[in-house]
Amino acid sequence: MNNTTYPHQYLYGWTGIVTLTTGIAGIISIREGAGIGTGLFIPDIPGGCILLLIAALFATAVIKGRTDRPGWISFSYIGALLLVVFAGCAILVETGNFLTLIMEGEEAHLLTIVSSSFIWAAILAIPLLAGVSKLLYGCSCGGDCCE
Amino acid sequence: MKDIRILFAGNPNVGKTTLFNSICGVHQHTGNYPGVTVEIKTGKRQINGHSIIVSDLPGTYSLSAFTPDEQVARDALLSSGPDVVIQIIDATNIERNLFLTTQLMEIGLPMVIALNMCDLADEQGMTIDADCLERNLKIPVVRIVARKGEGVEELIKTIIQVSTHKTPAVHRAVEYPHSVTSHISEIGNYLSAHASLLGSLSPHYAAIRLMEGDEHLEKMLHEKGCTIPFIDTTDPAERDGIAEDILLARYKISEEITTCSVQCSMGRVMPGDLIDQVLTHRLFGIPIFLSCMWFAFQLTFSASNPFIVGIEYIFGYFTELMNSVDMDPLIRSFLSDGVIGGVGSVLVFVPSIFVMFLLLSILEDTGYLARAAFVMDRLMHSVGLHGRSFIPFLIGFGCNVPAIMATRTLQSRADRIITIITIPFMSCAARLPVYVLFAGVFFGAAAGNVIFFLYVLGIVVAILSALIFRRLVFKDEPSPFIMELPPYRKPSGFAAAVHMWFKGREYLKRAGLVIFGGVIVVWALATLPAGVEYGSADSLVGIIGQVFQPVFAPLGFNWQLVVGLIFGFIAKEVVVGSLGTLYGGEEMLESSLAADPTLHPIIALAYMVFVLLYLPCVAALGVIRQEMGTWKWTGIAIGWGIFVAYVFAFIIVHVGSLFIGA
Repeated sequence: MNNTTYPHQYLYGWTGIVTLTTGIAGIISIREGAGIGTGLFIPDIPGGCILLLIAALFATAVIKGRTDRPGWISFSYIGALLLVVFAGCAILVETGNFLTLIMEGEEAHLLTIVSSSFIWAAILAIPLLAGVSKLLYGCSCGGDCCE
Repeated sequence: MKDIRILFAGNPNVGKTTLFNSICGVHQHTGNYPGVTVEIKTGKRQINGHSIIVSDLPGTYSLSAFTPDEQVARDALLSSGPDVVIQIIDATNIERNLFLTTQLMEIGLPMVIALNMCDLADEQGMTIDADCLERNLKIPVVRIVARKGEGVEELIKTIIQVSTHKTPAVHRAVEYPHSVTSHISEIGNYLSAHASLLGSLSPHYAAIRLMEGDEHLEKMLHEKGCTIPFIDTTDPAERDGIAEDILLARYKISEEITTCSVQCSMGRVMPGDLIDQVLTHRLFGIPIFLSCMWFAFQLTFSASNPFIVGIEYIFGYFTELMNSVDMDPLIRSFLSDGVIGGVGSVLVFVPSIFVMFLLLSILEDTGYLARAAFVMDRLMHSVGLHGRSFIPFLIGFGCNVPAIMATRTLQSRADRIITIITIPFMSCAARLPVYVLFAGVFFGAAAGNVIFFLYVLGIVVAILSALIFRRLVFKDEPSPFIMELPPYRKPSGFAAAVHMWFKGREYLKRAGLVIFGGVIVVWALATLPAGVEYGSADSLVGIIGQVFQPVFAPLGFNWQLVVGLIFGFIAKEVVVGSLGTLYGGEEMLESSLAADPTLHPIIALAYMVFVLLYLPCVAALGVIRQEMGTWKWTGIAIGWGIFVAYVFAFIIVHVGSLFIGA
């Protein structure tokens, strides 16, 4: 299948952009964790590895999308869903840490709550999630995604 | 008031327990994976002058009784003489469910079919003609959505109606080929002459069971001296052929009935299938599962921390209050060191337990945990464990006791023994307070990572142990794993919260009984003999700790930690309770541990690993004995756990010391 025939070429292109941003976010997290980062993001080596895993899911979606449209939808849907859910978890984790520090009378910065790389990567994935969710649902309701 | 005894039968994961809860108004645990119910649960409901007694059977695909839970279901159907059998059928997969229907019909008991999950079938574009189904089966069919309680009242009315029928139930008969029916008649006639040997079985049904290769029945008749025609005189190949004909006849009728009563949109790809392509992917499946678990444990630690700090403040306030009131020093010590120090140090971790149960419940409700078992199958199989063993493992994260009982879903005894021996390595919720305490004190911001590491280590040790037992003791191959993946569902916040509350409440009950008792014993031993400094090395508990301490000296554990391990055998929560009592109360526990010069992060890690691996609690050991049926394997399970715990803790201490130079 030729991609130029896609009715969803913008969404497909967006998958490529999210692949890059998620990969970069993963590398930033790992660099911060290794102590060679900018200090703007939370150091998190395991979290960085998870972001790279999600980037690999998006990359697979992009590659599959060239010949297998349902494959593109399923990989990009799961990638975006995991990213958004994990970003929500990251906010909860950082909020918990922030509140603990406050309650123990230690110094805490409100901005740390949104300092996880997951959150910034997830913001870009939200439109993708909305788009591919519609396509995924369309598959079971006679939509055109699986043609 | 008339008693109506009904049995719930059906395939695994079709919503039997959900319907049971809905009818009886109880809260038995339901799961979105097979094997949650492994023993019969009974409940009662009174309605319109009738007392309906409901028994929820374990799920089964057939009445062949290959696994212990299938055997339980079959025995109950055949021997308990219910007034009505309710078969719960998954409306999204009628054909597969009808296979069991064909077997249930032959028993000849009055039946009602509850067609569950009709909402999901509608969502999937399926049109089900319940009347057609009813006409074809000659069994009343009621459409229900058990999760929402829809159709349940109509089902109850139908049950009452069917139970009051005076005429015997006549269902549609399976049409077997002539070669089969002639043998059924031959065996049936023989068994009619020996009907007293069959108990509640009809000769016709017993003949079919024998033709299908029911080894239990065959063995029972042989033990009573019967020589069964055809069965004992025909070669196995021919018997297998007949059994296959019976199987095909059952599938044929299931297919015919489904074709005429269900219309679905062919060629559509379901979203669940597309999602499964990724979540059960051979490369991505396991990393995705590990990522989910990593976030779950990060949340368990961080999200519950503010609540823990809040509870600590409350206990701190009560301790100060206690110290400011004029009272007998012994009573003050009892209340302050024993009750608040011991029980308090356990109760502060209740938020972590609640958060963990909430997250596991959400993962389970979505249907993801069943996929996790599926993706782990390849890994499990390669080390000699049955893929289905992973479900007891997952249950073991909550509590080892139901997890050990869930091994009844395993067919082979070898698979069961290996799984039971390895389940205690799954870190149950009771061990979480130990990790939260030590990881929080010694690992700071990396505490969540350490807790995740411990849970993964538990799985790794379980898998390695299975590999060793499979290679050295049980050299046969594990049986193949067939698992039906449940549909994906949006998790219900209310259901998850209810599940979390019931599990958490169990923990609180234990805190009130077992843990309270345990810490009071520790307090008494720490106070006696009279006149010694509380909790000192001269107290009884100090003496006990010092007697065993040399055994643990290579691991770097001080005598207080050893006391925690000894009393942790009662229940793992008592480990923290004991330490709270010995280290000057809940308020002081963290700072005392941090200030103890005999402790450092490597010893803390070794201690957490030892607690993870060394012994299940008394309750779990009791269930291991019950399920193994022998003290030999129970002893092996205990010995193996202690050995593995010691070896791992030793390696951590000595390899870790090389890095930190301690």
